[in-house]
Amino acid sequence: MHWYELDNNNRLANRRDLQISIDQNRFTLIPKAEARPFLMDWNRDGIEDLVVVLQVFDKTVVPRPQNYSHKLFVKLGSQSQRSDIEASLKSNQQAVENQQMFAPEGGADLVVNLEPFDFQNGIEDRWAKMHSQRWRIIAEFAFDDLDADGHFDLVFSERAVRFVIDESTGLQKLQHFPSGVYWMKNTSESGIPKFDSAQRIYEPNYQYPVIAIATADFDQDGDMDIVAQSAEGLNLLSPKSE
Amino acid sequence: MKTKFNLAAWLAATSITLANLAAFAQDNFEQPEAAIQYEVTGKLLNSTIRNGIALQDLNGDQMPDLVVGSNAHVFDPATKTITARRGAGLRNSPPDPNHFQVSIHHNETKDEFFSVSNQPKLQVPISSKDLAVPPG
Repeated sequence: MHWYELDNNNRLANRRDLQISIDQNRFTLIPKAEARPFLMDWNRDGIEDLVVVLQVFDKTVVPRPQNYSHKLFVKLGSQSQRSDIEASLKSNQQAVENQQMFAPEGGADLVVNLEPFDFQNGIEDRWAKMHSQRWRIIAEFAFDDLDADGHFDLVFSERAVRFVIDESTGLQKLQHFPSGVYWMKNTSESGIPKFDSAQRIYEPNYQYPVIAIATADFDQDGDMDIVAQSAEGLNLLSPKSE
Repeated sequence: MKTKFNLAAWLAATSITLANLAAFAQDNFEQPEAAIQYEVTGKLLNSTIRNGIALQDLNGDQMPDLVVGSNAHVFDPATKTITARRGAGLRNSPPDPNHFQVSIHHNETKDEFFSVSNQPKLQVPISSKDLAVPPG
């Protein structure tokens, strides 16, 4: 991973490298799975942390469906490094350029397992799909306070895809299967979050599964909105009025 | 001598009833109705973009802007659409590796929150090895 600053001309500048290494004796990264980094205060200590969502297979335990679920790799921000940056900012702005909140290399401080979820075919069917080289469960994650209780929740979209060969072209193509947008409520009021089981909050048109999501109060009405990307375009999702 | 398992007899001999079993299954395997349900209330763009989206306040007006990143598509402020470049997505026609298109859709007013800014797009130089999504 890399991170950049925007310069005065809105161009990316000052590229810096950042890594979260994965213990290869324990995890296997699932091919074609996507990774998405988040900068957020995970443990709510006032210091920004790095959260990376990865789909990996835990090979150290007896295979069960949750071994295939997405996992959150958390690199906690360091108070000492934050203090160093603050001190540098006071003394010399330039000196900050080569510092960052996290150790740029090394493993995650926390690995958070997400419980397996499935609302379409049953968990065993999902497990069978995940065993297959031809199936992938692809998910996109976001963290936001959906129920306005003051604590960030986990929101994600997921879709099942199957790799097939197009007989007319001989090329590989994707078949999409039903998907949805799901919500996992954060039941912890402080410190490390604790997520409740997943509940589906939006079921898209069968033909157009949700590919990616982003959350914010887009229309400024006080409720959290979701922008959902699908093959037909970008839709704005808002809470149903009661 | 083989004896057939008699479910009814077994249930009768225990305190378990079929009604109890059904209730257990319902409690443990059926997903509860989510307290929050979402519905489509607007369409922001007609597009077939493949890359990421984000909602973030980029212009400091305390309102989230829609940011669309795509390395294979071009945003046209006049039509408010993103269209694939010629050849984008085909194996032998990779997207322009010299620029990464980022479109910003400002959410400027409550009444017109789908409005699209005519401000120039950010064009971020990026090397081909950094492209997040390979063509094809």
